[in-house]
Amino acid sequence: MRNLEHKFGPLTVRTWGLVVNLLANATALFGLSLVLTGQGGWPILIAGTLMTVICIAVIARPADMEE
Amino acid sequence: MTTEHQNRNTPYPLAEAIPQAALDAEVTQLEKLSEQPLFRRIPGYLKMGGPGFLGAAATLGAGTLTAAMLSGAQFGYKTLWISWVAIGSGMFMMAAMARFTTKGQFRVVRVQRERHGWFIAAFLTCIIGMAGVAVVFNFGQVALATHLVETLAEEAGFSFPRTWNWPLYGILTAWIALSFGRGGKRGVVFVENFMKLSLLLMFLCFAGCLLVVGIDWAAALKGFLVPWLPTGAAGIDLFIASTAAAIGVMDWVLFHYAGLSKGWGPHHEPLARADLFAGFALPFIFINFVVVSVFAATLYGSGDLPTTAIELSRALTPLLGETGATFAFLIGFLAVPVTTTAAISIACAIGLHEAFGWRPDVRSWRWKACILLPQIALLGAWLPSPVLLIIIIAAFLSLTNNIVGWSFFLLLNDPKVMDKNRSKSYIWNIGILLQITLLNCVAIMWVFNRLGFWG
Repeated sequence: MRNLEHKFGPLTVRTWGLVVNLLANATALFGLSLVLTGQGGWPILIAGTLMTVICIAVIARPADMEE
Repeated sequence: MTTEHQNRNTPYPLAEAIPQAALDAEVTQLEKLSEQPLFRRIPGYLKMGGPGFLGAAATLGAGTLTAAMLSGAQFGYKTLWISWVAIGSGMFMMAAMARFTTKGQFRVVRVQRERHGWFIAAFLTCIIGMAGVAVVFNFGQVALATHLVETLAEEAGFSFPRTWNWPLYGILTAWIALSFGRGGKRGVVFVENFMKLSLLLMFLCFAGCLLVVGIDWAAALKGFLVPWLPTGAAGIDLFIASTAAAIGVMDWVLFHYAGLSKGWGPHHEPLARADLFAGFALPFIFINFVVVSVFAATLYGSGDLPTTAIELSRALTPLLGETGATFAFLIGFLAVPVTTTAAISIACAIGLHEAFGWRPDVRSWRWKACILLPQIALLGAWLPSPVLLIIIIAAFLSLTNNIVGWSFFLLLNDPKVMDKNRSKSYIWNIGILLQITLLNCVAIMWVFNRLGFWG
């Protein structure tokens, strides 16, 4: 894993991770809303949850662990 | 002995009047305390702490207490566990604020502005997250407090309607808030001690009511330890709203600046963390526990339930039976809006000064005007709450709390800002990210609600 403080375009990798995490959260909640209304949605819920877990696991790495 | 307070290098002007000798003595005392066993350390930390109690007073307001009352009345003891999960998930971010205060030794909004821009620092953090929230949410505190004074007077056999008692509330809360920072550390400590005593009063009064109505300990312990939620979207709404609402932007920033106002430095980090636990988390958990339990023991299962704090307290008082218990409940409950109004008024002044880059000076008219700004809510004694304003601020808050959380998380991990004091703990970062994820969910659900995807 490259340095999370490295700039990639206008934002650092860690900031992009936060943006992707937000999208993953939205995906999971959208899937959940479908599940709760009986319209399926399990694959979307699982994909969103997995993306959320991966995002958190990656961007939680302190700078020291990357050196 | 040195008293060169005017020239002392301090990150926040409110701490300039504190003599260096006093801070040095405090550090020596902290070093001695750190060598003591835990049971001796705790009273020392409780005495020296304070910003945590100020934060607890701010967050334990009419809204939080209404949620606790409703929770007990609707679900009995089953949702008691939410309080410690909510406060526990928020402690990671609060620990970041403690790090900014003690080891960072900077004013976080200034650094935020340099690194993340004016919009996030001044507008989202200070104007919306602090000043806007202070003004809007004070309407609820005033409505509750003036009603409680009116009811207390009725119980005592005389009439003191809310249209007459509001000046009393305004004067009391303004006096407490204006005392902050006066006479250097003395004013800060006065406000903190007021918060400590008021939180103790709240706990004792509600616990007294609980003794009168009785508690089902088995059900309470089960509810406190075993997670339970109502099924469907209602359960998810309840969990996300309760956990995300417990600690927000105002609590983060108020704790940070209150610590700076006490002159906290690098040696104060253990004290700041102990203060977060004993001053912020424990009062929140204990007071939530007794309030939920009182309503679980009395109104749970009684059919149609009122939804406002005023109506809920009106429904409860006849069930308390004894006059003493009724007085205890009303007095304990009155301490809730008093402390919240005072704490959020201080937050309002700090926020506005940081937003516009003004130098905080407690003697200036500008500081006083900023502290008194939330007192606009005294109009609430006559007028209905400004629903449209509340909706706008609540919407902004729901949509932006998470962005401010992102900003603080990034600062904590930014080597250019924190250097060797940045977070080096994977667990700490995960804790903060879990709270940020909850805040993200609040923002997303707000949008989904408008789009008709949710609820």
